[in-house]
Amino acid sequence: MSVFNLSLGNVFYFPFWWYTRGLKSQLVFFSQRLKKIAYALALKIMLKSLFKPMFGQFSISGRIISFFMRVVILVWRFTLFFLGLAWQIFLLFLYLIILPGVIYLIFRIIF
Amino acid sequence: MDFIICPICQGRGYKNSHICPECKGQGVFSWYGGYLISFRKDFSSSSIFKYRLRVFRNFILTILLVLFGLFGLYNFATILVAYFKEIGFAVNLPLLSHLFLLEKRASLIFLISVLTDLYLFYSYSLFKQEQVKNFPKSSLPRTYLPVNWSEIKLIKKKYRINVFDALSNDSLKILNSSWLIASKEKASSVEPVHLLRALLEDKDCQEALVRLEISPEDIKEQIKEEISKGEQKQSRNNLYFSSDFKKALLRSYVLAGEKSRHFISPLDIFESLVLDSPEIKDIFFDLGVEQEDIKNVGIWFDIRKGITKQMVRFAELARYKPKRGIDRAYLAIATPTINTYCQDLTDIGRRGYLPLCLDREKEIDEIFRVLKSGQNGVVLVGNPGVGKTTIINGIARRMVVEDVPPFLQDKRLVSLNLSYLISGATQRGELEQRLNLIISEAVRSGNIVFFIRDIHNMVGVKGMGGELDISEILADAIKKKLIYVLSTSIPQEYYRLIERTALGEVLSMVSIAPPNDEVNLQILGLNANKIEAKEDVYFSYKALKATLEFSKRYIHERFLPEKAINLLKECAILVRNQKGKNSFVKEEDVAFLVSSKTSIPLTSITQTESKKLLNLEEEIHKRIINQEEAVKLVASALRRARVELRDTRKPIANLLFLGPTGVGKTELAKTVSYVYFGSEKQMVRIDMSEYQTKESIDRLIGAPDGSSAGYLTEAVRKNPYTLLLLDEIEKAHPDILNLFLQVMDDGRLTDSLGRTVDFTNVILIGTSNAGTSFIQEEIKKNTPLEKIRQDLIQEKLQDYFKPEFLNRFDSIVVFKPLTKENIKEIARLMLNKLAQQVEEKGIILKFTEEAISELAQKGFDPLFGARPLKRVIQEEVNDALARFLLENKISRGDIAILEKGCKIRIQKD
Repeated sequence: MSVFNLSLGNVFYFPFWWYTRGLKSQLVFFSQRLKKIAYALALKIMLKSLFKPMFGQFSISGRIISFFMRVVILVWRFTLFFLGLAWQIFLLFLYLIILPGVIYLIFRIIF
Repeated sequence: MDFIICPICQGRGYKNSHICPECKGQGVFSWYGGYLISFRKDFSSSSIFKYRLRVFRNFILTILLVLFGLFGLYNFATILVAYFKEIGFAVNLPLLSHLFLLEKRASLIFLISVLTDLYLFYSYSLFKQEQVKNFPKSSLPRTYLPVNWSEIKLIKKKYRINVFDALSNDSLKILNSSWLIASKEKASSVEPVHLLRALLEDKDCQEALVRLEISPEDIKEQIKEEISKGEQKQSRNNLYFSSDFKKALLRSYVLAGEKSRHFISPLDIFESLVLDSPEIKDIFFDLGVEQEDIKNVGIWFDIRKGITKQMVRFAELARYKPKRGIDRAYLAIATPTINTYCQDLTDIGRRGYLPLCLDREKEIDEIFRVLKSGQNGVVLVGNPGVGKTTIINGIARRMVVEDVPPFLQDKRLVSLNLSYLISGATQRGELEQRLNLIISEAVRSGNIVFFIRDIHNMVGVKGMGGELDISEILADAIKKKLIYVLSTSIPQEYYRLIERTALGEVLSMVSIAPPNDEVNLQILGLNANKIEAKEDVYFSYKALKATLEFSKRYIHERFLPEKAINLLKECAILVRNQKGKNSFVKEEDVAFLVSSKTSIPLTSITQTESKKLLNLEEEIHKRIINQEEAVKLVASALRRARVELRDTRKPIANLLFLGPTGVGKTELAKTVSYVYFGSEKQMVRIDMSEYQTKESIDRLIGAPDGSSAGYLTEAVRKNPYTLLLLDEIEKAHPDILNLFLQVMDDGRLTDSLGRTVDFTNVILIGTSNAGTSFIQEEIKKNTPLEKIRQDLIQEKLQDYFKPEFLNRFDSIVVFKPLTKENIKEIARLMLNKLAQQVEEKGIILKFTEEAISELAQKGFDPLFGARPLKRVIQEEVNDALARFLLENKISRGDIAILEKGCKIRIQKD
């Protein structure tokens, strides 16, 4: 088995692989990326500590400010998360359409 | 590993020039991961040629496709330029849909290049997926693995694996080469030795050989010899793979699987060859390399490759660890006091400055388990250098990537520096206040875990006029579960200072033992990589092995693995200074360094030394007359010691010399010291008559309060390779003799400070006059020496020594009384020695035979041996010469002749 294989069987298996095993690994990769984004933005930790005062400010005013501050941070981070999600969905969508899309465009240019 | 061999073809895969119908050419089978593994592939010159052509074609195609991809990008750029020229820098959606119609030719090239890139991506992904498929992990482990041939035949295809598919490209090339080598040598089968020959061309295997200090020429010579022994092929057909060859490949598949790799690398094949093939094992055995060595070199290489991957992964995850003490949940507060007195280990770890911790999962898990069970304090107890701090660093690294239990996640591990804490605390209560402030900051911040190195140093530390020990303040905080504390201590101090105090109550002890040899070697390998990069030298595997072995045997006051790592560092510096940059640190270099530190000869024996060792008896007899048996015993002991053919847990030799006074017992010990150790001073001489009371034991091993060091223990500690002479041993107190029971049996003695002193490189010689009269009487009766010896041991010596003491001597040698002839020879030796002495003053001393005989006659006394002779020579010759010198009757260049009647005649120059 070599890294680059141009046998006839392999060429015909190409589109089939693209939408089966290839797609499966892309979906795994997609979920891994999402988990990584969520981890990087510490969404779980921030949600867990939503009602905990920030920086040891245990006074009533400190708690209230903390809560609102955390909400603001969470909104911002969720925005980032959704942007990341949108980008990942775009990449997945690109994966799905790129093969037929390129072939279609080639045919359109030629004919 | 068990193999199943086809009963029809006996593992060859061929029967009567045809593929075996029973096993379909596979021949040898085995089990791994619930799958039946075998090797099946037909090789021929044309198939190898085709394979090489395919590899070349694919290489060219890959390059072309990459270039085409770049060309495609260039065309895409021209399309974009055309687009922006057309519409300016505004985005025009209707026109965007016609983007690829603007520049048709360029668009076509670009789109085709995208298609080829996608194909490249597909091909690579498929290659990776196929690799994983070659090492399937069965979800249903088989409880029963058939070994019977009839059952094997029934195994379904989906449970069979052809290990050929798992070979890496490099391994495949090697297999092709091995077939070609066998074909060229006209061998009847491809044998493991052909595979080994092909492996010599692989880069990794070449490096492994260099690290094993094997010269390529030597091994090639051995292989050539082995190949020439092989069976020659009769016809041109049927060059098959032998069953040993297949076994080695199946083994390499298992090795790769065990290392969680998805392909068989050339190094796996190399390792498996030594494990499975007897002739390859013999080749390496002849070159001084054992199976274990090859395995360890493989592990070393894997560690080196693994570190890079681990570093990348670590760096990626470490990015998410917040800086400057903030936690991810924003709960922590600013901790200025903690930042002043502590060092943030997680922050250092985040920046990648903490060393890796190898193979300490068991201890780390135990620490986590203790903390999880509700105890907030842990103390790691182990000797200095066993790796306590490395374990803490390992925990810090795991905290950086949050690979820790939830209660340690999103936290900082800070090392409390006791010297910072104590220094400058001059005000009353200041020290307590500092510690309380640190604890209160940690409690409020909630994300602090403390590490205190050598926590025993905290016990007994009090502030100015303070009543409370600071360790009690800390213990109180741990008891209330306000803070988590990890700490280290050494066994003696832990039992002395911590165990029964408040700290001991709140700290759970986790014992840290030194790693085993295998892990120590891996740790050395890991450190060797760092030292190589720093010092610009390269270590051979044998150098690492020797470092471990020598540090274990000859460096006793420190512990593994630290003492070995330090030795390795020192050796690297020594070699760089001596041989320059990019030099190779070999086993010999380590031996040289340890030898120079301990004076124990460890380097390989040179021809001169070998000659000296073989003629040791002759050398000794130049100074010792008679006593052949004793001389032979000592010489043999030295030879055995030098070639390491002795029990290394005991002294080199324990000898007891018995005999009348003046027969040469002490002189023999001195001579050995002079001949072999280089000087008479290389000897620890203890006159046991000075140790007649029980209390004198303190002088030997040191005072119990540590006020004075022991004479014996200190001397051997400083010079472990020496001759220990215990003169007149029967005069010592029996309790002192008991001390030597352990020395003679275990080769070690503990001094008053608790340090174990190594006696395994000592020649212990005891001399005694016990039973002298009995010996003299029996000699007069012409009783054989052996009979005298037996009688002495069984009866006479029992009055002086306990049987267990006598039993510990390797040999008890009876020195014979000296005869007149012996005395004459000794007189000659003594006069020669005197002649050497006066020669320094420029005077030549000569003596006649008659003078020697007269001196011998005057000095002969069967009761006192050679001592009266010494006195006679002193009186007759030394005194006369002294008078001549004082009266200026003799001067430089004169000749003094000792003549008949013991008269000295001066012959002027």
